[in-house]
Amino acid sequence: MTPTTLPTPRMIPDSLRQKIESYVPRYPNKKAVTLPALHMVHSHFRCVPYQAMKEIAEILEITPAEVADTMSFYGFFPQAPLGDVRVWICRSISCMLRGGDELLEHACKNLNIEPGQTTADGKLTVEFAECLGICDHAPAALSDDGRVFGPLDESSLQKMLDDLRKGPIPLEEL
Amino acid sequence: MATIIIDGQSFELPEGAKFNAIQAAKHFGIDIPYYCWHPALSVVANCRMCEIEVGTKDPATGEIKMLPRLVPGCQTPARDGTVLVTESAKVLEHRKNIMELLLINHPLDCPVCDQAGECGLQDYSYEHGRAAHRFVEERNVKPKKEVSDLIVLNQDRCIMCTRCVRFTREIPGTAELHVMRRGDHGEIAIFPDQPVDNPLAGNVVDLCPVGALLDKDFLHNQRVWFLSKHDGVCTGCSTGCNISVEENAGKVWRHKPRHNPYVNDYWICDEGRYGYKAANSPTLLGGNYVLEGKDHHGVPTDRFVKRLNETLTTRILDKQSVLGILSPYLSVEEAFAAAQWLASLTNRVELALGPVPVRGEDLTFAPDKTKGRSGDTSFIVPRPFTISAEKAPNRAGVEMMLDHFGKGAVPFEKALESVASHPIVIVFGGSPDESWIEADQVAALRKAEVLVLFDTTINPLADVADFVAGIASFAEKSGTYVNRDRRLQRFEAALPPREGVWPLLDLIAIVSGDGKAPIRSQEILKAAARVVPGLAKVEDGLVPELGLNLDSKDQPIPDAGFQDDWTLANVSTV
Repeated sequence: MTPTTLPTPRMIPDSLRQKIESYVPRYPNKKAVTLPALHMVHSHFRCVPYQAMKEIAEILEITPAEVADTMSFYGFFPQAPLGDVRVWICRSISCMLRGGDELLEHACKNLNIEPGQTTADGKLTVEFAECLGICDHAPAALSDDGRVFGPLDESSLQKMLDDLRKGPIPLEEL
Repeated sequence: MATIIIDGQSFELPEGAKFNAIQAAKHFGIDIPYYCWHPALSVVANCRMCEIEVGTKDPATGEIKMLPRLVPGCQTPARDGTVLVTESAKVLEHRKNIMELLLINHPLDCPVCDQAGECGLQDYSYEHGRAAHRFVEERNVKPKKEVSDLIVLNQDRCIMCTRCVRFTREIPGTAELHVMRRGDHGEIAIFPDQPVDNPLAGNVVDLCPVGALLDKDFLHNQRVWFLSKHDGVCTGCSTGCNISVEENAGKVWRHKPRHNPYVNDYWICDEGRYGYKAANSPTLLGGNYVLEGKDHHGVPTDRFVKRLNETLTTRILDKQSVLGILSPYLSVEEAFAAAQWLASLTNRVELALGPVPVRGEDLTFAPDKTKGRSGDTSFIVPRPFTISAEKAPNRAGVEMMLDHFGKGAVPFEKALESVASHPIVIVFGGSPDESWIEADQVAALRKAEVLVLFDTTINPLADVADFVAGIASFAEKSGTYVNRDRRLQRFEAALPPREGVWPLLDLIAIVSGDGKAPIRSQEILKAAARVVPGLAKVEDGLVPELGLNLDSKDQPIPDAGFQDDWTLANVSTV
């Protein structure tokens, strides 16, 4: 019996692969598509696992290490899947002075998680942010479906968490 | 003429040089400290150690305008009218601060660190840093990890200069290393299950200015200040990379590259790097042996020489002819002395080339200015690096001797066919590999009535030869090799000859009665240059430091000779 080679299991579906490839002509070289590709993979899987980095590298003809370099530079790309909604609570100076740190602690205690973690039901991920650029709403929060919250206090924070647990609002395609 | 002003003094820049401030200052003997910059890699200016005051002199008015802030010297082109200030109070204070920043998380474990003694952090800390550590907060301790079977990464010692990352991307182009995360959380890393795996991998250890990337083969073997460094030439292939052979206590401990822009630039391949092991091999011949009955008996050199000469003289008076085989591992001088001796024995002598090992195909890494590069490349002169398929150092040099004394480079296979017509066969070996000869070749040579072997290892031919003389190994001899580009390069002996063994040059002088040992290889080269036309360029027996192309004139390279100061520490002149 001759040994048969199993097809390499792939994670990135053909449609997404084609979409990444369609970005190549827009840039001076293939490597420059790394960041858009990471975004596309992230919005598809809500994370960028090692296998996906490997496949991006294959499409863009670079090494997986180069993809990991770019991916790990940005705190935006997680390796493990996010909850249905991801929310950043700001702890930069304006928000911090107006109680951002306490709100983050409160939210996490309420949900029984640490900053950066996802609730057990997989509905919500809470992270801190180093300035969301919405200091006029301080203390503020931003969810990854584009909703801005603030100024927050304990009760409006609770309302925000309840709202977010209902799931994301439709997001425009990247 | 381009004039540059450094610390108030004017200097003329050499013609055609594209220097940055560090190179220009170094050219005139002024040191600007740096870590992340490397002459063969693109400029990223991320260590900030080389920051100096920079300005320009207006050619019309003579007015000097300085930039308000310090700028990295590695990124500053040295042009006509460039003004550099490298020793002002502002610069010195800045260096102190940068050293403090780079050392904030450093473990200060020099007593157990292999880099100690050739460490950029130690040197610059002493020269530019401060004695006390002011940082009282908790240190950010990063893990130790393995980036390949042979290379360990002590991330806690790393200063994130990214030389290693740029090397893998820009020179071999394999890009196995990357920067994981950023800022204070940054670490050098490999992608999971994809270790650093390229033929030049070991160079990342040499590039690392601190003790972060270390060679596991050398780890905790020797303190570097006990090593004596000897300028050698790698015998692993016909490229002839310039290496530093580093020994202590009668053993070679490692090979490191020596910069030669005409040959190997700053690199060596891993095969050459770990080729040092052959110098310490337990299978090296330990003396001279004569076959009596079925056994070899060790005999002192004087009795060996007497018996060998008696045997050869009797047979040669009988008009028996000689077949001499010269291996491509012999130095130019050894091949000359051997061929000259054989020619002096009788005019019925045939010379041939020993087996030339060839493995695979030539492998060339040809970095250019763009591929894999991310930073500023305006100061880089990309130079290719080739690993030759021909795994012997001196075929070209030995062939010159065969051309002069014999009928050209008769290949080994053809020589084997003519053993029948030559009752005396004298083989000069020298390969560090004991399997350099195959069983059928041994059988063919054994058909000779008298078989004489000068060699370094206990090998299948040594098992059957009538006379076996141990000779100095590649690390125990000095001389010259001619590489694939016909560049004549000199190498020094790193070790004294093993006990009971002579360098081939001395042994031939004793056997032929032509000279008094010890023989200096330079004298033999001088003698060879007088009679061998191809060597006319070295009539004084002196070979320049970067070697000498026997066929053409070298183009001058303005940036030649730049090497990190910390790796040059503790150079022995012994």
